[in-house]
Amino acid sequence: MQQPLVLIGHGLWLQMATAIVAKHLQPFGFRCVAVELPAQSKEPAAVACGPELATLCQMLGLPLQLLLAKAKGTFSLGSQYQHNNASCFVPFAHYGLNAAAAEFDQAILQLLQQDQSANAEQFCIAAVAAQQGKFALAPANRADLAEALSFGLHLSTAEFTACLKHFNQQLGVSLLSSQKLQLQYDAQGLIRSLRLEQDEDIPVGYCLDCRAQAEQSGQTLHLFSAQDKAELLQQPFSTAIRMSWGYIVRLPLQGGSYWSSQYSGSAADLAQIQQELQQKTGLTDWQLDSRLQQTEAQPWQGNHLRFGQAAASLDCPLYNGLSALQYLVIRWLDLLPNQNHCPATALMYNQHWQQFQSEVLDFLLLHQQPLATKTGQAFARLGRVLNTETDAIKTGQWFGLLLGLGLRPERPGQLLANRTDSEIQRGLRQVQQQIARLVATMPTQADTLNRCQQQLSH
Amino acid sequence: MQTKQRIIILGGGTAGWMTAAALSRYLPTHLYSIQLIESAQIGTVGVGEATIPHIRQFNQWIGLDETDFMQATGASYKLAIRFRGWGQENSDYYHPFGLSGEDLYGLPFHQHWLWLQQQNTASLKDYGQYSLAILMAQQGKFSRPVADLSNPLSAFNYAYHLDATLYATVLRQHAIAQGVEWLDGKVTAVRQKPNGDITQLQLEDGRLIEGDLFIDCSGFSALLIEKTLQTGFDNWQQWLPCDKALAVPSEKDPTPPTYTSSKAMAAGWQWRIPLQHRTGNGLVYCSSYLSDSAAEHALMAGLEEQALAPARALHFVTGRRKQSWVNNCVAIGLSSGFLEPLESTSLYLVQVAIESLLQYFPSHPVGHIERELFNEKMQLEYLRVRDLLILHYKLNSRPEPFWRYCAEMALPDSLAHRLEMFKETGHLLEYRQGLFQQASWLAVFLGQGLHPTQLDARLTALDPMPLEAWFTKYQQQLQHLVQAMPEHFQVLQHNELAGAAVAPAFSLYGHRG
Repeated sequence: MQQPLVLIGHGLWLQMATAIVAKHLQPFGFRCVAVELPAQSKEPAAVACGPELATLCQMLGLPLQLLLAKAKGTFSLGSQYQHNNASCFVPFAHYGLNAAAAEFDQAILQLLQQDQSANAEQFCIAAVAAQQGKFALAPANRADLAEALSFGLHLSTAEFTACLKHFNQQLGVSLLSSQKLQLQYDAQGLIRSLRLEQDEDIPVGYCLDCRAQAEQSGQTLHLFSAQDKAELLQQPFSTAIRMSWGYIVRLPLQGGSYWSSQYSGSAADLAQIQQELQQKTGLTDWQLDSRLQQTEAQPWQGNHLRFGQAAASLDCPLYNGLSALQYLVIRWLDLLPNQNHCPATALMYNQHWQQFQSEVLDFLLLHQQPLATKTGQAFARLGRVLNTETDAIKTGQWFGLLLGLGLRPERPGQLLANRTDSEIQRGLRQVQQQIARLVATMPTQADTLNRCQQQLSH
Repeated sequence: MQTKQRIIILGGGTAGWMTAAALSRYLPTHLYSIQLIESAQIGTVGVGEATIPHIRQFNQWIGLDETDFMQATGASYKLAIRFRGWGQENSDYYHPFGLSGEDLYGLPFHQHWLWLQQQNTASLKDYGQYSLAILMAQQGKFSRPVADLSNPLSAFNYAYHLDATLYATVLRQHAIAQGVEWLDGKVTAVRQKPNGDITQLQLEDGRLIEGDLFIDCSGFSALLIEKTLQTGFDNWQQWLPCDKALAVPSEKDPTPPTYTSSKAMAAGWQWRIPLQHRTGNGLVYCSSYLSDSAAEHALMAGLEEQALAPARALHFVTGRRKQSWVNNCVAIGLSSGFLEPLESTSLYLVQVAIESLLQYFPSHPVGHIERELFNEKMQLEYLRVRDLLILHYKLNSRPEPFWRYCAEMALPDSLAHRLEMFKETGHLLEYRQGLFQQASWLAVFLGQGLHPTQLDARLTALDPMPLEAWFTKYQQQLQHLVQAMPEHFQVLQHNELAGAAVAPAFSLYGHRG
């Protein structure tokens, strides 16, 4: 392809997409141009990245230690959910110590059926470590532990963006900025060039559009956010508190926390919500921003890739659109076409995206109406987490949330039916003891962060 | 006292006994009773059967030792399917149980191979020559794969050629030992509740067999799922037009190959499945383009060994039941649907149905959730196998009228999009659920002569010289590995294999797959 890849957008999403694309394509001599446009809406002050970030950083050659140090980062083993008086932990990782262990989840369900006071979290190393404020990076030769301790990061958006921007500059990406933008189309409806301010034209092979804002009308979303200065290094996890309208999510950073909550109903309710937020959190300085959100089922149209709009259609405090954006970019790079008109490829890609989107939406709907989803119904009946086509939501997240929502199967799985209760309990106890021993030897998150800082300074 | 849940399996072919063996392995006798009704008056299809590697996991699941199984079923090892005459009359390619090459510079191997081909690279070999499984199959060698992903021997898998009738016998012994009750009888009537649930099967001798869950393994007759419950059938003959088959055993091949043979003929294709004690042969054909007598003549003329019996005829309609699980009846095997054995998927589809049934096993009465989940799973599996089968027929430039019809037929959307995408970029988007992944699609695309019009944009930046050197070295390494392996026939004769058996990978392509 002779024409350059042009990325447009703003802030974190633009810099992240640029970093991925430039790092992938630079060895192949591609020209990448990133055009920073004015912000359409305010970015949240902090971002919760899932386990895919660690893999991505490895691919980019961007040390996690650097991000943690520069962007006030903390580790995240999952989310602590608080529903009324109950709480549950939803990990990124699987339960048990072997991801491939057949029917381990079913054994847990069987135990819960026999002993309602039993706690499933004791069989999840991520949950046990999180409760004790522990966190360790698994040794390089322990892929099993790395999987059982899958983690994300909480990062300050501005500093994370600055890190990525610096990274992109070092890669030699052309970073432009413009107050205005006009897309110029050819007769076939493909973007031929971008016209920036001062009538500068940039030729386009593909336009990777990272702008989040819906171009047309969409649903209005109200985002409340606040910050505090409480340091929560004993919490290597985020917190999600159930409220009447949705959830308040708290992301701990080094030196403070970022709080957010989203509401999509009538503007008339906003004052009441603000009051409840203040009462619940004790924070008085809640900011309110609004944005339009529109579903994007066809992000690949011609040579225009509407990654930002597609990712934004999923973005909310319970699911970070950055993960979706990363997925969109990486999947597209997997297919990097040699021509800018390949409708069948675009169609298949869009179908794949729709699958990803539907899995995330199913996960989000589960929070509100578990039995309105097929996932919730299947779990409530059979205790099974449905197979997924993507890793949008990790298996541990599905299982942890379904359990945490209080769902228990009517009909436990029969693949363990020929095992006695004592056999199952003995097996579970062994795993529990092994987890307890492993966690006992783990450092605290604060120690691990200090160690990361030391590694960086060396 | 808790009442036992009564499971009735109707039909005793491979599907019936696989189901009985698996259910009796997992469902305890104090909670479940399992009865299998089989009629000595009704034969089974029971021809030689080519399998795919998933059968190894099934055998392990039910506790069948591989050595015992090989002896009891006359099985031989299988590494690939060899397709001759598919696409073009002189074509000859393999669909291996394994991967070809390795990703380089973050790009799939086949993209590099196609690009080197475009550069007219003199040393470039056929795509299949970069597959360990194919080299082993071509050289008659066999060795077990390993699980260590850094070892090239982890990039392939294996299955078996087996005698389906003997396999059913082994499974029957196994199932009966685990408490399955075997009844000889022919069903003459089926009794139902007003809501359609089946309650009793009446046998010819007057016995009434009551049950809570009925598993229809009655084969093409689909006695419960169709004749009783009238589920309906999705006919796929417009894409897979063959409707008849002839099967004939022939003498054994003293050096049986480790591949199933599939040779395209004027109006269908001929199979050859080498076992230890005989060879299974057959011809699948389209009766609109070939008469029965011409088909028999073609089959007999194409045998490589002396026939041991007259040819047996089968008539089939390709497609599947609209629902595999209706009310309290689950159809498994031919009663659920039929796809010709071009990719050896028959027992795999039985296996998936059994696994899914166990995964979603119902209480009494049956709930709609388990039915829906099971039906969705089976639909997906059938559709994805179907599409690869159609591809074999679609991609051809053969002159015969049958093949011209196939080349010109309209495709289901799912396949048409996949095909167009490959033409545009040479890329494939993988799905997670479903049997055939990239390596299989590529084997057929490239083997039948479909090359993309454009390739990945990154390739133009590469220097072909070091790439060519890498290809040469890689291929030589594979050749060395294969040369060190024992001959397949010797492995069978001595009934032993070097190295311990590793846990089977649940992938067509081995642990790396």
